[in-house]
Amino acid sequence: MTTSHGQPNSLFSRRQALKSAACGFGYLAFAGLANSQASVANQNPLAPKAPHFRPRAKRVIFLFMDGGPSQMDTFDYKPQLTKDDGKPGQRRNANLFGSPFSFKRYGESGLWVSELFPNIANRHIDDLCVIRSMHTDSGSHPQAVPFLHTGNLQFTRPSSGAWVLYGLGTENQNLPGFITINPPKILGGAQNYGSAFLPACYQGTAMGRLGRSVKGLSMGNLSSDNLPRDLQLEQIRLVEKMNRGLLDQRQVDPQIEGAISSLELGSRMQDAVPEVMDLTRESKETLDLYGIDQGDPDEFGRQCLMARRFAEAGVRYIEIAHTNWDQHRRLTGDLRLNGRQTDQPIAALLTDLQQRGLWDDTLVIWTGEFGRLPEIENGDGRSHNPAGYTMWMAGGGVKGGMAYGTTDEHGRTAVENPVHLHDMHATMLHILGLDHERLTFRYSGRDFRLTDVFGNVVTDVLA
Amino acid sequence: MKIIDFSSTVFCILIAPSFLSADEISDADLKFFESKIRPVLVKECYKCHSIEAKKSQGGFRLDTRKSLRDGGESGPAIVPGKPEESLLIEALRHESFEMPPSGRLDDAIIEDFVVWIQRGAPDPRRGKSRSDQSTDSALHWSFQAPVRPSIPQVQNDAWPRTDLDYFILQKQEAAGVRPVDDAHRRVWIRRVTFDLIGLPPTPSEVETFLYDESPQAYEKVVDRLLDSPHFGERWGRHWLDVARYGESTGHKRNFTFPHAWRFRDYVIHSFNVDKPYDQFIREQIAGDLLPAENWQQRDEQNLGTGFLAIGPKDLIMGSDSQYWADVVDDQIDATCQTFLGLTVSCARCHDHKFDPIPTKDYYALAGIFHSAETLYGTNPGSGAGSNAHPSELYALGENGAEQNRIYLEFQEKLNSLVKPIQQAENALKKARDSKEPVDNIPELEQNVKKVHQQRKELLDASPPRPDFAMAMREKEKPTNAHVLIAGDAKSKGDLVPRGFLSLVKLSDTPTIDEDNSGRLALAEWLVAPENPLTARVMVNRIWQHLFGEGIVPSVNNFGATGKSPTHPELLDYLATQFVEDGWSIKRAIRRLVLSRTYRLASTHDDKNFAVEPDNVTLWRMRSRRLEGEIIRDSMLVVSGRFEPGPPEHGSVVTDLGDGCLVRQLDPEPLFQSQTFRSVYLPTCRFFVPEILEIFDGPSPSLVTGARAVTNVPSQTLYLLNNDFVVEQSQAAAQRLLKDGAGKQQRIDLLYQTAFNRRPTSSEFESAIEFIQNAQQTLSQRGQPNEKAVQTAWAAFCQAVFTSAEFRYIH
Repeated sequence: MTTSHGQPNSLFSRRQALKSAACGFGYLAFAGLANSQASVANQNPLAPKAPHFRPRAKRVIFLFMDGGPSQMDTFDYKPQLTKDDGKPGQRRNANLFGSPFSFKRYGESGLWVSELFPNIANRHIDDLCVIRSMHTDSGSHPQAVPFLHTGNLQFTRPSSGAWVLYGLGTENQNLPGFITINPPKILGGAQNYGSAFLPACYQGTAMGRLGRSVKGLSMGNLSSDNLPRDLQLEQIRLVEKMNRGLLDQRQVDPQIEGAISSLELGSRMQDAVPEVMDLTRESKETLDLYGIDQGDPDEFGRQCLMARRFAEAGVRYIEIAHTNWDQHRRLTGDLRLNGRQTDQPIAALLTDLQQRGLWDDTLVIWTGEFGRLPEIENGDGRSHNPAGYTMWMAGGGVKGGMAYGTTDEHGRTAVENPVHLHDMHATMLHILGLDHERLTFRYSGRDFRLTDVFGNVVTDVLA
Repeated sequence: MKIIDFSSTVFCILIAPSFLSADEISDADLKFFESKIRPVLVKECYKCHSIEAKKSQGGFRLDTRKSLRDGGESGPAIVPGKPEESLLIEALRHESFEMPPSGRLDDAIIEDFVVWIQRGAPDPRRGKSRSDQSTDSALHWSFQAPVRPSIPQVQNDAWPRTDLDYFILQKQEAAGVRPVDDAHRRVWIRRVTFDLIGLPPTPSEVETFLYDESPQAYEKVVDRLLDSPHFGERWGRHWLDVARYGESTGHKRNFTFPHAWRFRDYVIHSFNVDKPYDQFIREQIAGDLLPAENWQQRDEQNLGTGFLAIGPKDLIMGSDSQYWADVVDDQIDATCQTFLGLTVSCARCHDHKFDPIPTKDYYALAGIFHSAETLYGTNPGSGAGSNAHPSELYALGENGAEQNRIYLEFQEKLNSLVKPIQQAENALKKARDSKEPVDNIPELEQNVKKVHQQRKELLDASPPRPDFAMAMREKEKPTNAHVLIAGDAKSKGDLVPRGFLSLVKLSDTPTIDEDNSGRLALAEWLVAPENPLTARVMVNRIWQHLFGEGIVPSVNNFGATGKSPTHPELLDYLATQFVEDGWSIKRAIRRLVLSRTYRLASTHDDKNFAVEPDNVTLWRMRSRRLEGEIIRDSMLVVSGRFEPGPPEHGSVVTDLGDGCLVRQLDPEPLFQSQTFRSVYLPTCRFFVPEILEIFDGPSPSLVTGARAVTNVPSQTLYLLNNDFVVEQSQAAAQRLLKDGAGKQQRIDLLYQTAFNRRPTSSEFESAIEFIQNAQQTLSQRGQPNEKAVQTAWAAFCQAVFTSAEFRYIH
């Protein structure tokens, strides 16, 4: 962070806009004036901050599979369940339901994956760290979704993305540091990307809505039809002139300095965000890789490609969402559809991250809010199960081709090396170089953390 | 203003080494002790072996590290590292003593103790016992009653105007700084007007003040502002921050509170009439229990208890006991943070680690709130995840109770028809759909008709719906609360008599009778002049809103982990004076804004800055960014669209109706553009108006004493592009074009309304250059001339709204 403030009128070049990291703040000019509270208070709260220790990854792409994907139909192969198909289960009047999908071993690791994810399995199974012993505290969506996102199902608490942004700041000030595409409107709504008692600048920037198309998606307040862009740039220059006049008059004023910076950054963001979200800038090969304009994979392909573009541009925490994993009935057909919609895009994302040298810096997480039960309901459905489910991580910092923990023979309960959701949060922070016990914020007389008073880093999965 | 401090990211236990035992204790050991050992000691042993036990059995206590190691009459209880030699283990195994006498504990628990002693019995508890702690805490400044200090001596006694200036100047002289000059009158009137009513002064108010040569010029301005109805809107909003005011339940199923606004208006009214603060507290805790001379007064007082009823609620929580434990927790938390500046909620699960607040005190308060009924309404909802805990409401008006009785009866009758209608319709449908011939179809049709007729008759004669409010009322039978071990509603400990926090020592503690909840006594306990916290906490809040930071910067935390006062004597002076003035908030504000200290300019000074850069001594005024609400209100004033008063039915949420947001009610109207004051904007939890989200508005689920202040690009983007800002810019432009004769006059007018000053000549030039260029460009691109003029001026007005000067006061 050494560059000095540029000339007021040459600030807005696109190239510079995309490259710019969090430098060039005028307040640095006053850094020599002692570490006064005033200057601390007016430092950019989103500027990159050093982690607690050497990080394994710098950013997160969080793939939220809303509804609770069935582990025994995806990544947790249960031959005993197939054998016991039709036998009485533990639920009253409900028999066990062997997976209707075929499983195979893939890659050098020989991990089992169901037929739903041929691309992920064939190309990336040796990159995945599959945790089959997840468990969480609630089996109801409206509690489990906020719990997954905030680590608390009782009170309003900051979301994990807000914690990460608070802990690390963000690298590219021309883009929001925490972006969530298509978050749920209900099930906690804004709570899932909110900042609660953390300053509001750490909340996620939400775009779109769960289940809706992302075609034509944009960020709010980025542009207005009111004024042509060239005149708006004139307007911004006028404001800057006014602000500089005020600053001259006040001699030293870090708050006005801050306002000048944020004007400059806001203006750059207006160019940078649409540019990053513009998928037409991608090659035909890339679009094809993600399955864009190819029917089923099109929508989630767009989300995955945007996630990669955001990651590449330096966004710290990116969440994208695919809904409809709540198969109380019609599991066979619906999961096949989910597979067709997400397999190719996710595999493409992993491939693309590797090809672009982003792999080692990016932690990819695939998870729902809980898993499903081994018993059948409503013909070919399964009900919620918080006691055992599967998630996977990939990319920077985690061991690939690894399965960690197990559920019992029917996939009902995590038995070996159970990993609680708090442990997952602790591990995620650890991979980013943050100690979940030290990443705290004082509110209401005590220091709060994402993991409350819980959480153990699952060190076995770390590369 | 909350300073965002990134350096304090260390778990609080670790930054308070003075509270740890002499030898360091690792995180893992601490966790082990807190999760495995302490809960058992508390639950199984403290009753007979702690300072609280009437007589420690066997002369032995194990409520402190020291006493456990010293042991009792039979010798040391533990030998660290050697469980087999430890008497405690013998006793737990029922080998010698049989402890606890009620029955041997699980082997797993005993094994935990063995492991703990093997690890050296690491024990974080303070050296002394809890009541020794209280003696310790008696030394904590905020737990002692304030004593009115004498006015300090200063060298430069020409400088102070009022008593408080002496306290300020004395610290400055000691620190070697000199107060800067007084602010220009223009700066001062802008500052005080925003501070008192949250709106910019009008150009004529500024002019009047500038040329007022009378010695009372400042007083006149202040008194005019204190009398303004906008005063209550400004200061009421401060209160709504700490009262965690919200118009929906929050949580995953978010049900509206369509009547919450009555509490909002009650608060605004209370500030406007300068309701004495002690009365204000009484009403919010126990307004329903106060004597009233007439029904209007009765209603007014009942409205106050909305404070306890408006907290967030998780209405789909299945467990009743957990649900009510959470509701009561919110009430305890809000009460203690708001009035006492204490964070008591820690004691829900364990004794407060830093303040002398034992778990039993928490449950003493819990008993008070459990003995009252919380009236918050809410629609029963529908389908999966429906409301498991709907409640009644308080009916306003002379005959509110009677009206409500009739209305509830009517509702009940209406509800009782839902099933018969469904049954009749289903039966008819089944008969019609049946493949077999059915002969009773006419009879079934008749049935359907009949039930619908019944419903219609009922509706035709529907009684008027009373005006409702959220409030509290007494339960028929008050109860004491059980301690819940580790806060778990399923694991009950001892029953605790209703009472207050033991850390506050009054010479005459109000008593709680058996036949009432004790809320009234709680209110009296809060406002007792001897209560060391109540007055201090409030004058500190007032100070914060006028000077940008509290004398105690941690405004909601006066406990051991809070910050120390920068001017302790001044705080006590203000607190005692506040009580002497009959708890008048307006007088307290008046005293502050008429001081010399408040009159200071906010200009930089190299010498002072070198000595005291943080300006703790207030050698200059702090400049402050206006809140989101005020930025919005100011735009409305400049645009001329500002509409005084609340919306027609009290709140947009009232019009939205009663139900679950998103699932039953479309939240879209919550975000529609409005022109009334921001304090009246809908405030549903998780559906906060955008400008408040962007400009650091409070989270309505949390008690907010000090808002964060950030300076981030999303704010600029909002001002540059948001429809609301564009609308106001256009309206402001229309107004200028209508009122101003020429360019110069218009620019001058805008500067005077928006900045309360006149533009410099170079500002004139830049503005004219910008407007002309924009106008030309737009005309060249084919905009009709009139439209181009409008757009150009609107763009200029928007530049003014976007500028830093518009949102800062200096």
